[in-house]
Amino acid sequence: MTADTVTEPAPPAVSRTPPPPLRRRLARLRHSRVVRRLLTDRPALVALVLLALISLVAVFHSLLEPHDPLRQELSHINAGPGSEHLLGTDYLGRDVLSRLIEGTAPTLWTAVLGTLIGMIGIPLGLLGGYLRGVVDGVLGQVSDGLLSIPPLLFAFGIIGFMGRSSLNTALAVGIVLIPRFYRVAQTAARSVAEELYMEAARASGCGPGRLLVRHVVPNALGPLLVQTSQAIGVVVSVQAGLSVLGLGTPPPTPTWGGMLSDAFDNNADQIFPMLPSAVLIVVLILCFFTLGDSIRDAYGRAERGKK
Amino acid sequence: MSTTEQTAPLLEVRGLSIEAKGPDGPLVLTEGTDLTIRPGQTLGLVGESGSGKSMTGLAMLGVLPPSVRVRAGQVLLGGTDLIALPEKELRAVRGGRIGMVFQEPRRSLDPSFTVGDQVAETIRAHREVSRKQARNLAVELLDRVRIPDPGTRAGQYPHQFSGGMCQRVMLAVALAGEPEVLIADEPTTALDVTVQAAMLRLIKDLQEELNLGVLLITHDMGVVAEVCDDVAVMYAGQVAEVGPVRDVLSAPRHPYSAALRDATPDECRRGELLQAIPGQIPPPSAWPSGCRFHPRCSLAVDACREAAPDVLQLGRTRVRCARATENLTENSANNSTNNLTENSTNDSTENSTNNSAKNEGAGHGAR
Amino acid sequence: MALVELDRITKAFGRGRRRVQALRGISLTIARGETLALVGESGSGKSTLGRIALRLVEADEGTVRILDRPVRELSAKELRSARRDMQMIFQDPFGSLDPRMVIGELVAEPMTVHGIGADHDERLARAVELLERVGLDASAMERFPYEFSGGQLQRVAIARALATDPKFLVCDEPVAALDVSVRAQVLNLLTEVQRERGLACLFITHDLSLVRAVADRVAVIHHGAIVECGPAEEVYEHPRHPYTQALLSAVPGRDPDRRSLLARAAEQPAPQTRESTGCTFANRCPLVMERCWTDVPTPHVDAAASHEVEVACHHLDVHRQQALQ
Repeated sequence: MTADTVTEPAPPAVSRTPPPPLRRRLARLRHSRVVRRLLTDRPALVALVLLALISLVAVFHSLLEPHDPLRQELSHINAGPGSEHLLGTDYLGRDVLSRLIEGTAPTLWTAVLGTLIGMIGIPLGLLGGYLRGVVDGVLGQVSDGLLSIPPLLFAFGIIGFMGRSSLNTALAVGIVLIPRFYRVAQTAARSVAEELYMEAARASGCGPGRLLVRHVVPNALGPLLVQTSQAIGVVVSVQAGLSVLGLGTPPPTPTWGGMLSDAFDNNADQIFPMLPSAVLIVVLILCFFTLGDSIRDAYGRAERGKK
Repeated sequence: MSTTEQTAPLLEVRGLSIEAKGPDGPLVLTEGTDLTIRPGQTLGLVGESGSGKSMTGLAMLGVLPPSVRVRAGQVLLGGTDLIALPEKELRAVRGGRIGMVFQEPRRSLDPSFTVGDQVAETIRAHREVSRKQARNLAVELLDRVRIPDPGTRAGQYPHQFSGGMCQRVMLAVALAGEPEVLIADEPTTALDVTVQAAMLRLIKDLQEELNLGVLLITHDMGVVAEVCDDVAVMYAGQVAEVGPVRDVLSAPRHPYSAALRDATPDECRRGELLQAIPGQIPPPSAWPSGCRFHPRCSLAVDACREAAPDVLQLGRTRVRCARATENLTENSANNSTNNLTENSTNDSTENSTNNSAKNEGAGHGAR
Repeated sequence: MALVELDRITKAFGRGRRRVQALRGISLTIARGETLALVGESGSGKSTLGRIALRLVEADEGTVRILDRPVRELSAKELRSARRDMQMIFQDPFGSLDPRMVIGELVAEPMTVHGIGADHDERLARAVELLERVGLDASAMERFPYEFSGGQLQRVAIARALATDPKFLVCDEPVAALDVSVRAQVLNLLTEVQRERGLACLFITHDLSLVRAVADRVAVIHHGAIVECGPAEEVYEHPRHPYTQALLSAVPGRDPDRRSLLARAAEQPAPQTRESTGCTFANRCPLVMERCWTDVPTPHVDAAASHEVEVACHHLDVHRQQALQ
């Protein structure tokens, strides 16, 4: 829009026509309330800052690594922390700090990718919960069937079938998550579908598409965001678990889970070598869970209209 | 009819103020409430949502929600201040000397116990009787609240009872501790009108039998007019007017009492507009300064906006209105409706006849 | 010519032993510009009937015609576009407005759905007009439902219902959830817009005291059957059916000098436990006759009366016949 086409602002007393960007402002307002609450919640803020830091490390890893994460210094294996190697070296004499930094990106990447794959369950669940009937019957049966298989076993199967790689780890975890996302989305959509405002919207002539997109989705968003953020946490832990079992990302690419597994395999009598990677994994998981909790609170309070 | 002056008070509320924890410091919910309940009499506590009437009832029983507390004042039951009483002793009073009935009977009953057991449990909590005796007393109580076939009904569960029958069971529970005072918070609001009438009849009969003092918390001026001896009208956390029902309803001194009385639409015909009070009920966080009713009051003058009015004793009523002594209320209440109707209706002739008819009625009441 | 015609509507919920007959063959008509109050107690089926009229609930049998359209036979798509002419206001304004939408979007939504207005800006402009018509400020547009009181939200609901310029409006207990002091405002507003736009209005309520003020005609429903139907004033002043009489006598008066509610309540007979296959009111009726337990009474107009009041009562039928002889 050019400057000369801008309409004159109407006098405030008789503002019959709302200003054009009202629509966009309305949309912004809707989300900003939750975001604002999230930013005033201390645990959420800490989690967000930590996640931002971890992401920065993942992006700028090559600038931050003091050593080559893959270079083996066999004369310096299993060294404790010192001025040369801040967090010591591993059983092949590789610098632990550099490997942690290098491993950030693959760790995050598999977690996010796995969750994204799992999120395929969300639209299916929303549809199932809203439409009920045959659709929900079939999808629900399939998802229950998948849920009855122990998740690790399922992941073994997929990795065994497709081979070890970062992508396959994400895929395995993602597929395990699909029915879980389905359940959450289905429950959320179903409870929204029973709300009076859904009947009111139907009474005023809304079709199924609009009901789903404009009413079900926004109202089911809270529980879904919570689930998503916690799912990432779960993926991180499952991925670490897979690494410990030797089914994670194959070497030499470092991941936090893989490092924990190496330390465990080669130095099980000592605690320290396991600590850095273990702590980081726990921190990462906690960040996502805290964020999930805070999102739930923020949504809950936004709904009840409290400050 | 009213023997208000003669009998000694049974339960007295003096200067009761209640506050809630808020994000910006404590939020006052009620302020300086004075109420008197006498044996064999019914005090109506009328107000709308947010007026603090229910909180006042809960405070009298010491069962305020966790974030709410009594800031000042006393609740005197035969000389003992219930507010100062330790929780253990208060528990004996609650359900003992003071019985209570709430709005939603179904939620107040435990769905997994039989109705007879729930009544018997309360009896055993307040009286030294055996299990068997309690059971028999429970059946007796159910009979007393006119539940047909009480012997069989005692063995049934709450879900087998209708809303009205559940409320009768609640009344039986309330009577189990042989109370002197009954606090009933909107006991008939969730019930159908025909069931409401029967329930009010029952409460009245039991009151006469047991010489109960009753506090009836309600939003319905019609119910007050039919069953109460005295009435306290609450608005925005304060008692606006308190006095004998006949005085308050026939010649209300406070504009809010008058407006609330006239909000019942049964006199209004098709084609006329109802007498509406303009504006909204303010929440406790946005109570106006000065008189709290002034933004909605058609009689408000500058003085009402500036200073909170004192409580005036006028005859047998106490009024919190700066203009109460001017004896304007009746005329001006009608003026206000005139103003309103002129703004919004084209049938002003019909309305003015209606108003003049009201004037006469009010005049009779005053004499 | 009636704008709304309901003919022999029946509806049952549940199956087998839990089957409850909610509506037992109800016929009603509402003319353009007319308000029909449907009065009944909880469980009488009054809300179900309102939803069947708008086909939010499917009836078991019977026909619904609105503006000569057979509502029960419309396809899903036809029904959606027909909804433009028939709107509803619900009892609970907090529940019936989507908490995640701002008021402006809520009022504009029906217009969007029915393609009213050239673009969204025009719809929003119309929404402002509608909000001003129901007594709200344009600043409400950008606020969320939780920022308003029940009375204000009910105004929003009215604005939303009016957005498509409907011909038929169902109001399901529109003021029952509101505070006494704001009820009158909302009722006045409803009456005004109904007049202004010549709406046919089905006003569902449990509160007989409202009826005279808001309705032209009243139908009293008891356990899924209409027991009495006629001009509001006539039914209110001279209730003929024993159930209507019982309902009216249970409404509290407001004059403490003329108390009679409790005396009237004491006169009502205790309900009998006998099952009735005939009149639904038989077990509570003070005038019950043997025939009432077995025969379903049919509605009759008293031919001798000056008013068109239909009453379904055996007792009155007997009287009528005696009068004729």
